[in-house]
Amino acid sequence: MNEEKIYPLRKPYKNPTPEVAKPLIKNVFKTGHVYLLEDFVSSDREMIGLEGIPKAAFDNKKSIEEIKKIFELTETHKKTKFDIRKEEFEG
Amino acid sequence: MINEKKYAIFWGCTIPIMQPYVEKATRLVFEKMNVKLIEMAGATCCPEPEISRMSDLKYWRTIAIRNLTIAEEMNLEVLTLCNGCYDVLSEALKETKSNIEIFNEVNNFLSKIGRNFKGEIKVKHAIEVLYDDIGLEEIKKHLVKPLKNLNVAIFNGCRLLKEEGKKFPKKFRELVEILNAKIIDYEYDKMCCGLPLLYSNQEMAFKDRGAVKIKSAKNAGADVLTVFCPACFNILEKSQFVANIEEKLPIMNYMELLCLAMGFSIDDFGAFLHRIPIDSIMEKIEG
Repeated sequence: MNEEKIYPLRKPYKNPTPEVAKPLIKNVFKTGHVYLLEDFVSSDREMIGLEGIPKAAFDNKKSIEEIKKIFELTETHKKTKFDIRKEEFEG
Repeated sequence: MINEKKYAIFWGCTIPIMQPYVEKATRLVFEKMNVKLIEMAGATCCPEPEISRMSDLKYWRTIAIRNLTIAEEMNLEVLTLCNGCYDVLSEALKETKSNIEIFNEVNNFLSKIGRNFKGEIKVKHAIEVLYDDIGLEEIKKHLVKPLKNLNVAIFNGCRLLKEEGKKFPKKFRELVEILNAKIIDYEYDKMCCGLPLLYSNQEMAFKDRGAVKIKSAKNAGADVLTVFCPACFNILEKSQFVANIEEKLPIMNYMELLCLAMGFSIDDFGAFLHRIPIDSIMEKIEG
C-alpha cells in the first residue's frame, strides 16, 4: 500500500529513533501496553475494589506474542532498529 | 430504567494504571444505568497516536484493527473514554474499511496470527454512549446530588474538537449542565494540553501549554477542570507540579463528577488517590 497517497505530507522515518520514543516502543513490544504494571498500582487497584491485574494484555501472554509478530511482519523492527531477540534498540 | 445495553470496553493503557479511580467511577456509573461493560480480553495499547503512528503506519493500523477484531468476536460495539484511543481506533477503522488495499493488507498480517477483520464494528466515545445511546433524560433520573456550587471548566481535547460533525463539545457541555454545576468559560479552552509537544520539548509542553491552560481556567474562577481524555488529565495535572503552581486546580474525569452527582462518595471510587486532592471540591458540593 502506497501510504503517500493517504498521507502526502508525511516525512520518511529517520533513525536513530528519538530517545524519548524508545521506552514507549519497547514497552508496547514487550508488554502490549505503554505503561508497566507495578506492584503498587495493583495494590491501589485492589484497595478500591478493582482487580489487581487489569484485563487486556496485562494478563494475556498470547496477545503479547501477537503484538511481537505484528511488529516483525510489518518490519517495524528494521525501521526503528530494534533487536527483536534482545528486546533492545541496536547500538 | 433503560433496557440492558452492552459494550466492549476499551480502557486503553492510562486509565487502568494511572487513574484507577476513573475506571472504578465508570464501572459504578454504567452499572447503575444498566449498561454492561464487557472486558476485551487480550486488548493491547490502541496503539497510542503519537509514537506508534509516527513509527510505522502498517504496524499502527494492524495493531489497532487487531484490537477491533476482539470486539468483533464479541459482537459488540466498542466503548472508550480515552480521546486518543477513540481517535486511533476510529481512524484505523475508517481507513481500513474505505480502502480495499489497506483492508487486504491488514487482513494479510492478521491472518498470520490467526485473526480476521470483517469491518463490521462501531467505535464509540463515552460522550456518544452517554448522550446518544443513553440520553440526558435517562441520566437525570439517576442524579441525586446536584453539583450546584461547583464551578466547572471543560476541556474537550484536540481529538474531540477535530471531529466536527459529531458535535462533541456541545454534547460534553450539556452532560456537565445536567449535573447542575456552573460551567466556567475560559480563554484557552481550545488550546492543546501539550501532550504531543512533550516528545520534543517537555518544558514547553508543561509550562507553555498545560500550565497556561490551568492558569486561564483558574483565573476564570474554576474549582475543577473536567476532561474525558486520561492523557490530557495527566498532562494538566503534572503541568501544575512542573510549573510550581501553588494553588493547584484539581482535574477530574467527567465520569467522576457524574459518579458524585449519582450519590457515590469519593471512597466508593477511590478519588482519594488523586495526586491533587479533591477535598476542596467536596467542600463545595457539600456546602
